[in-house]
Amino acid sequence: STQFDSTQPTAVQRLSEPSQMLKHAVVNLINYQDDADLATRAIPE
Amino acid sequence: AKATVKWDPKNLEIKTHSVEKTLEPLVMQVTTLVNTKGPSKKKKGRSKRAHVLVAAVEKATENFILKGEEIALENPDIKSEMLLAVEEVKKAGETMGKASREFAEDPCSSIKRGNMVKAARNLLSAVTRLLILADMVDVHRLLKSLQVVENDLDRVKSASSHSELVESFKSFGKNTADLISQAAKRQAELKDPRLRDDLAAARAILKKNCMMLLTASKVYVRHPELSAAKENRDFIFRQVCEAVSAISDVAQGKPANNGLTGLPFDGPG
Repeated sequence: STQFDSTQPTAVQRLSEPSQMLKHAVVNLINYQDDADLATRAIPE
Repeated sequence: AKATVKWDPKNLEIKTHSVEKTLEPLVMQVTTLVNTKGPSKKKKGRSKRAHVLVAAVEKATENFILKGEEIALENPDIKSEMLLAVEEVKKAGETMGKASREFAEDPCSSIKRGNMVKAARNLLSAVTRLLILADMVDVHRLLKSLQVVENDLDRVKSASSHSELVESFKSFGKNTADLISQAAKRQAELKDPRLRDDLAAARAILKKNCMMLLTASKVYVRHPELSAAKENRDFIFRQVCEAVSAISDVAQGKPANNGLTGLPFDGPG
């Protein structure tokens, strides 16, 4: 059918949450790097 | 005319607020990751174990891919392009996973950290492409809705009896209401103020002329011998068609090109 429910979320809206989750996961890795920085300063390479 | 969507996978221009809003925090975080030179002011020692964080990135990438594939399969017209973009995310995700794991094994290595940053940027790029493509899926749906209204308009114009007119108008009214609602969503999304204005003007014209089209068409069907009735119906019909065409132009990223909103922006003198 060429018709569709106008209340259904858009494709971008459906990808929005997984994108945000991916963002949070990347942020957490960035936070981990803060610990790594600390370790690097304590024991220089 | 068949609704077609042209997609240039190299073009990362973001035209809507939703895509921009979704990406902005990710762009900022990755930029922070690249630009950070001095010591971080964040509290230390709050992170989980590195491998758990790497697994979380992999899981999140997998979820994003699954959703992308789901949307691709629901839209046969854009399926192949969409799956290609999903494949790019998959590859970038694998590289990111590998680089993150290597980093997690040896978090003090600046080379491994650099590799992970590079992989994160590539992953972001692939995610951007898929989101832009998802936006094009939404545009495609809007264009399909426009096609339905155009077909209804043909039926309204060719109706030769009162009952035929009322019947075709029932479908036209419902589908036009859908179109107006979708166009409103698109209007709220668009970043370019001129395109937003064009869309607002087209929606207003469509809304204003719909009932007039029914009235004028009823008079014409009843008195086809009166040239004034035909002229009146044809004039309103043209207005509605121009508004539909303007929505189509804006949906495809072109400024409306039908004289409805073509006033120059130049000021006096």
